[in-house]
Amino acid sequence: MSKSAMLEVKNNDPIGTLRDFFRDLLEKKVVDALLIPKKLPSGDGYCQTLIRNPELLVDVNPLAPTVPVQSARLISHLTIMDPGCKVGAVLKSCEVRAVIELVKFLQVKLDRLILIGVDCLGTYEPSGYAKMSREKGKGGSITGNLLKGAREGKIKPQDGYDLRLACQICEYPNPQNADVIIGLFGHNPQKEIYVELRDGLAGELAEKGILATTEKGSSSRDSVIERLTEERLKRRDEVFDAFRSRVKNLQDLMDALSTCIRCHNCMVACPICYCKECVFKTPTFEHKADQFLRWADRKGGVRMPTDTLLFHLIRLSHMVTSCIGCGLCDSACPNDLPVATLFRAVGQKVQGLFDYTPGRSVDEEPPVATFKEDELQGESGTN
Amino acid sequence: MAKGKKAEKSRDVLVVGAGIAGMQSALLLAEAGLQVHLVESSPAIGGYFPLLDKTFPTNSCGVCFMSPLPPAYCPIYESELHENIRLMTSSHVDGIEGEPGAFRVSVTQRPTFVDPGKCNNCVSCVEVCPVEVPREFGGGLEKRKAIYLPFPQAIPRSYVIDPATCTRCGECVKVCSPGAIDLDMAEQRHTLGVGAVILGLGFEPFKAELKGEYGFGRYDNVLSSIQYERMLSFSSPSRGMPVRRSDGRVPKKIAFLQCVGSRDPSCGQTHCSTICCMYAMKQAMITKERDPEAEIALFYMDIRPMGKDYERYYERTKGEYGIDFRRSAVSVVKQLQQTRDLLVTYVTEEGSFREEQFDLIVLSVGFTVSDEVKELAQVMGIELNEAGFCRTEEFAPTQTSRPGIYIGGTFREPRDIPETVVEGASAAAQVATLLAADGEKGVRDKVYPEEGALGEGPPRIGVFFLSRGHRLSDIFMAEELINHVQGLRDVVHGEEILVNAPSDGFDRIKLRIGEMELNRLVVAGSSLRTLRMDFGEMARGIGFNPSLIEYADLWEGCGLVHPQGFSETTHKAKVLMEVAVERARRLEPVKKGSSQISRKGLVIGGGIAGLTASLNLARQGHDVALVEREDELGGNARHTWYTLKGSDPQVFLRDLIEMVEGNPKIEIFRKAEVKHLEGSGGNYRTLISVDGQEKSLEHGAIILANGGKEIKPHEYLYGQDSRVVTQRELEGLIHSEDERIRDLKRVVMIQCVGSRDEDHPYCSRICCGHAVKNALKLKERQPEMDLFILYRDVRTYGFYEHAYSGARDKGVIFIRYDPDRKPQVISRDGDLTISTVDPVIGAKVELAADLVVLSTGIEPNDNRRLAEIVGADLNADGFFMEANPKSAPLDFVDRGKFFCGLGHSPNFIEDSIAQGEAASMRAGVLLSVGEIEQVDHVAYVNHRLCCGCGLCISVCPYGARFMDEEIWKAEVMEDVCRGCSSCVVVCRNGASQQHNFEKATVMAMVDAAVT
Repeated sequence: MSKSAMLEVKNNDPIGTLRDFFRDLLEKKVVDALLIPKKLPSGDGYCQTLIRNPELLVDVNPLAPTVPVQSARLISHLTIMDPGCKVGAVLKSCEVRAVIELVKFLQVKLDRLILIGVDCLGTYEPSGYAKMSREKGKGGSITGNLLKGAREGKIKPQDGYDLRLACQICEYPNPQNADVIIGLFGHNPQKEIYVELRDGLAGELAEKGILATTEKGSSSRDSVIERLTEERLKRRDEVFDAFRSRVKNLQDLMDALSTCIRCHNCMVACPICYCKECVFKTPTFEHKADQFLRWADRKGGVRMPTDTLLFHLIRLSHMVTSCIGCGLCDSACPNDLPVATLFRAVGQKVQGLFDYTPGRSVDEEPPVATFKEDELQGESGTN
Repeated sequence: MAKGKKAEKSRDVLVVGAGIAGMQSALLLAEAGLQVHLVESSPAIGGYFPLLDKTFPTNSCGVCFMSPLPPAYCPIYESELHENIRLMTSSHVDGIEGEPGAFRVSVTQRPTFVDPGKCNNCVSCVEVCPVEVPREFGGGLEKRKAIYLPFPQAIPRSYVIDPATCTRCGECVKVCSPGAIDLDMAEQRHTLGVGAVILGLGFEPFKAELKGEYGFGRYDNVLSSIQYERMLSFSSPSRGMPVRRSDGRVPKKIAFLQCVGSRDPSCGQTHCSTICCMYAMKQAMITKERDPEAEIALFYMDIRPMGKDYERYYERTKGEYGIDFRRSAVSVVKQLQQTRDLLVTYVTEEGSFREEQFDLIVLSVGFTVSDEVKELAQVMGIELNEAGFCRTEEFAPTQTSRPGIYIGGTFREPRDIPETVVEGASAAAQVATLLAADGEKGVRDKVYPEEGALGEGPPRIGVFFLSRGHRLSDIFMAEELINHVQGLRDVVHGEEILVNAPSDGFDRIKLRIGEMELNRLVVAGSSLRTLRMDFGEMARGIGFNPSLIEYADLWEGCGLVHPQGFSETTHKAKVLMEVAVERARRLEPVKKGSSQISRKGLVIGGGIAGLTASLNLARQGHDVALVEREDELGGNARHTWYTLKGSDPQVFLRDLIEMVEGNPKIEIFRKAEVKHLEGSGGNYRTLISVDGQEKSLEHGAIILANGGKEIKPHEYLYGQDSRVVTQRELEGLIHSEDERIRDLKRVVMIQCVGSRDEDHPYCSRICCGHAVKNALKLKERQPEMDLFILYRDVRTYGFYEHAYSGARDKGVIFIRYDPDRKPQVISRDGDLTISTVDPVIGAKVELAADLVVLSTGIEPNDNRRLAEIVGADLNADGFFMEANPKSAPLDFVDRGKFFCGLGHSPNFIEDSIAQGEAASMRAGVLLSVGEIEQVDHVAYVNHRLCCGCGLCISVCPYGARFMDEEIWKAEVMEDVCRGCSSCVVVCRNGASQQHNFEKATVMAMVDAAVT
């Protein structure tokens, strides 16, 4: 069971209030280090920063509506071997879910990790955010503008800009499985912020005089999340339907991926692609000239680079059951291929087959690691 | 047989009957280094095994067992391939003389008129043969010619001629291109000197015609279960769909009639055939899977799923599959003239007559012994019991009445595959024990020359096309094919070699290897695994690493299946050769490691099973450490005073303990338990604590025999009223002639206490027999006593059925109860009353009783800690989980770990003995090998790529993968790895690979195939 409290917002400044909260966590040794989005020196974006000195928290923004890098990968580096101290990580819902998946592949250890999840209002592409902040001159109000929609759950992006497609169709606006949840939905963020704590932490925070909690949840938050999720699901299904009617067969898929340049950016950006070195970068796929020429010989000609379709299919087969839908592959693609939509649409079906939801629970075993004699009888034609 | 001269001592073994039991015995003895002569009367080995499409309780495909490719468990192929087994099919024994250790046996081999060495399985002969008769395989549903393949997977893989139907027209001889047919082939007589004999003679299905009222043989749509099994096989003419013979229609209403030729004095078959309930349920389930619309009713007396996990199978059949179980007796089946539908008349449990129409009827036929086997028994000089099966002593289950001759399987008593496998192993243990005493092991250590540096230079590939019985040019455009192959990269030589046996071509190939400096070979021929073994041996013999040879199948995979013209067939052959050459180019020499085996066995548990296993292992010549938790040996048997079959367990136990204690090879640790185990099959180190002192043992195998216990009841006033006792307590009271049982007037026994319920959803198997046993004892003492047994199903399988009918004859009254209306035991004013609902009269019955006896079930001892220590799996009920419920019932997946006794499942003493012996044999075979050679395609890890995600560890079925925690990289235990490739499949970036099956190699092969 978890406990919750309402954090009173001072000076109509929710970000400042949260900074104070995190300063308390760091100063009072609830965590020994904190991974949190901090403003870039250029002022036109945020990036995750590992902070040990509380003084450096001045310009952090836990609610920054941008994800330049999937934090799950960063957390893998921090925890795969024992970090030796407690690390807190401020994450969006998709990042928490990616962390849960990586725990199952032994790439993240939870022992010394405190997951701090924030309600996500959606994110802009980093380039869009940078442009916006140059136009406005100050980044804070970009977050502020989005926050206006938090109470009702009616989020309006800045005029002329869209939230990332992955965020538009994300059915998990609120984080699950986090030790600390910073809740925005259903309340006026100028006045109060909902905070939920895992049992053990609630005691520690009360003891250290940081926050006193009760067992009450927030019904207004729950109902806003429910409505928002429903809208997102509707949008998601529209996107899936459109994609499926466009990509019906192998040729359609090849067409959809035809401008792929094999840059592997999608793989680099993906939090689930945890391999240190992808098989596609190993000598297995380093063909010799005579190999290419033989292929060309066989059909008169061969499209270069080769192995493009194979790359995407193999990546699909490796991680589609764990795809948590952060959409960073889309952001990383230089040629705007519908990679995220492909993965999410296929993921929906494959995850359904195994009744598996990535990021739901660390106890749920990934399908690839389990064998059930009676599974997939319809699909394999054994029945 | 030539009389007079005394037979000489021999360490060879004769196994008669190559069914499941016989093959098991033969394989184990061959593995242990003994020469085995495997004699089978039919033209192919396998017994009833090849008929089975799916097997209970997993419903996994029986064909998998038959697959020639590893890691399938196929006793049939193994028997053919094992170098210590000499197969003699179409043969029978017609004389035996001598004594244990020195028998002389004469065997007659009937001619099959086809030379299996030449027959290449083309079908030309069948096409021209004018004779058509019903095919024996599958009960005569199909037709065959006078020349025929006994069944699709027949071993030896050769057509045979049945002289009884052959008209000697000679057409087949004309069309046989390899010249394999010889109509003048004569019978051969052999005289074998053997030290021991095992009879794996099997059963004959009851002839359903003898139950005339069911119309088998007269009505088209009444099938025997043998025929129906065949029909459900995917290789049947209807491709696994049930169909009516009268009109080919798929039947919508099917009835299964149980106990046809079982439990039926009217046809002289008084025993229960034990497995018919299970196979009928399996067939019903498969029918439902093939046709979910089918309505299936099963008419039965009692449902007897008597094996491990079978009760759950029964529940699934009822629940999930919706099979309608009807407890009733079928009196007659009539065929309706117009529709050929069948009208079944039956009597319900309440006694009313009913009629119902069905589209198809399946008769679940029981087990009998054939006349041929009875004659053979006479030749062998062994006694049969009153049912015609082999007579054995209860506590020496595989010993016949003649010393030196042993049996296993259904010739002793009807049983299922796991028990047959156990008994096959148990009989082998007896033989190993008998012959081990006579001297050294028969293993011949082979010495191979040192391997050269072959394979290290750039590939120089030699391609050899082996032609056997036919020329390459008979099937392919030979010149074009050879030219094409010679033009492939790195191929320096290509040649066709004519051989009659593979070894014929060896000299030529050896010569070419030297002349042309070949460092890799491609051998193109048939897919037979024998070919690979012969070649591997040839290569090793000249110091050529066998992993540098690639094989291409141009026959079964090409020439045989594409007879439609040279050009296409040649094209496919070219592609297959390209694939093989691509792999050959990338082959690397693999040096196989091996590990010495520690020749000692560790047995955990000193009950009947553990004692038996220890004694037999020691008698096979191995050292044994026996660990018993308590101060005293004997386990549960210490509290068993008599058995249903009339033996005295106390005398047996006393003798057994005496022999174990007196055997110098057995070291006994009392008040001891296992603390820790490490190592892998062949080499374990175990820490035990003996009376508080720790001690370390090194051993090669471990047998877990740590038993089970009586379930303590918590109902029916047990523990509250001293007149409510368990069967085991009653047995003690009878034995000690306790005064509490002196003047009993009325006793009520209640079955299934703590069995087949939510806490223990399995049948404890022995309780029905236990109740009948005690009931007979009480009746013997006081015949006038009233004795009631309240039951759910009476499960006195096999010959225990005789005791059940005996009890009824003596006036024991059996009343059935439903689990949702369990009997009530009420203590009122000092009187005990049992109230139950009798389904026959449909009303409540109240029985006063002086004594209530609860037939409590058996549960395993709490094995969770031990299982964790030794790395063994437990099933949902806490019993040990076997590697394969059919073919490896006493083995854990991990090679070197075995189990037996009540830790396997609830069992009678005789079953525990058989299991103890069988486990000792399976362990003994491993210990006698001396060293374990690694497989040549073990997995390995590329550290640079490994991310330490642990997937390889979670999917490895052999526990061969582990994490090196210091560097967080996954590793392989090469001794334990069996090269199954699970880890390779699951590894995302190719960090885990297998030698000579690297991703790049496989991709190149696929690429060559996709043109």
